[in-house]
Amino acid sequence: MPVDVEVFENLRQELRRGWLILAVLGQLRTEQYGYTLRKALADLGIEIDEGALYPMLRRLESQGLLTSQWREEEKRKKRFYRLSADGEEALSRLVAEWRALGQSLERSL
Amino acid sequence: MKSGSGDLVDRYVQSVRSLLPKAQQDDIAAELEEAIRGRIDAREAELGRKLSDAETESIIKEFGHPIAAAGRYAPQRHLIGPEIFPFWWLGAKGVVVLAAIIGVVNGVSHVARGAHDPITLIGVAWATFWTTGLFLIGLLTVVGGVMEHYKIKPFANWRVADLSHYGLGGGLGSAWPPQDEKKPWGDFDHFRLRPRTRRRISVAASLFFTLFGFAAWTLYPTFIDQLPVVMDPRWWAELAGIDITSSHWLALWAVGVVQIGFQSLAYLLELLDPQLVRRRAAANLVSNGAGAVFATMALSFTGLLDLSIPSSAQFHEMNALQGAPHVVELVLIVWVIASAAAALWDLFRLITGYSMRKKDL
Repeated sequence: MPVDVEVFENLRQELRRGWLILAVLGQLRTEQYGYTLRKALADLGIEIDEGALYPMLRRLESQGLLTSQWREEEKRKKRFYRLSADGEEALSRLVAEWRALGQSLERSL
Repeated sequence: MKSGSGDLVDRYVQSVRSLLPKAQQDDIAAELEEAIRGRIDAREAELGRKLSDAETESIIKEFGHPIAAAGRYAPQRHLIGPEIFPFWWLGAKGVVVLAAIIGVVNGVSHVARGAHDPITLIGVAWATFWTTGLFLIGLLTVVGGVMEHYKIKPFANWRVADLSHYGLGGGLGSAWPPQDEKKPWGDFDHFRLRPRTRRRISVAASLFFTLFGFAAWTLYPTFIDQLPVVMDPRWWAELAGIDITSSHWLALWAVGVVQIGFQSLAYLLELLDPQLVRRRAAANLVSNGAGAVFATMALSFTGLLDLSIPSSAQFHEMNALQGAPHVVELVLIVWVIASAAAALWDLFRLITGYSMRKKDL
């Protein structure tokens, strides 16, 4: 019997939730604003809704993992985000976790 | 004047803005507007022309309904979280059963009082079920919400050995109690009272309070006239439109004396010798039976079918109290059911000599 579409979608969303943050943090090693960040992620094959991306960026900033700055570019004010010092540390630890988890999963799958 | 697409973006951003926390309104709204306009600009550059209103709207819609969009910026909130929810859910299921029982009892009691119309029985039972059920679920939700807010963990100190008392464990835990479990904080048991001592103190306190209640209830008729009017049940009966004579009061008082008296006796027996399970059960049986009789008598005095407030001039301004008899009735019905259930349990203990507290003795 094929897996129910809704069940599969829920599982996929749960799986995505964790590594999406990792991908966002990874991309913000270099400063970016929302639109370019979303585009950069899309180029890597990672799609994310704007409705989810912007609240995520604010949450990560409120957790001290990102810093942001309003700046004018192409005649419009944009908010640029980048990884903070705490964010750098959190990212390197998360990447280590991710790799260890990946190796374990590879062995078990 | 703004273009059509600009107007749409403004309208959307303002809608989201009005739903955001004040401190973050400007910041989030500015960022949201920039994100939408960035998307529109990119799309226009791609197509080499201005977007139509429909195209602009389709981009805006990707950001979600204003309520949903604003909600994503709010911290995650819930009235009852996943830890308390299972307890709430179990309680809600119990409430539905209880409300159904109360509904049926209330419907049947109407028939017993002369309403032979089956529609009345069904109507009363149905209405009672919904009003009682919704009230109790509301109450349960408030309790759950308070527990969630103040981080009160339900049954934080539960024990495996107790699960069988709630019909959850089949006595498995009590069959294998760990005698010398290691405690990470060290062994402070010598500072604690032994379970039996704790139980006896608790029983002594209960005996004290029931004896006090017994004395107060027994002497009640002698000082009733010196009490404030709100402590006089005759005043409440009159207010609720209950026609009750002095002989009714005397009967209620006498049953009350029996109830509290035998409850005190049960505690006294437990204090003197906890092994006297059957004698204690007998005393409790009389006490709970008297409780059921007391509530049934009080219920019969409420008139059941005649729940109107008296129309005398002094009550004309008390419309707000018109629901009082219904509440009194419901409380009394619950009282009858609880007392009857407790009396059945006492009867079972009287016959079998069963005690849940044997392991503590």
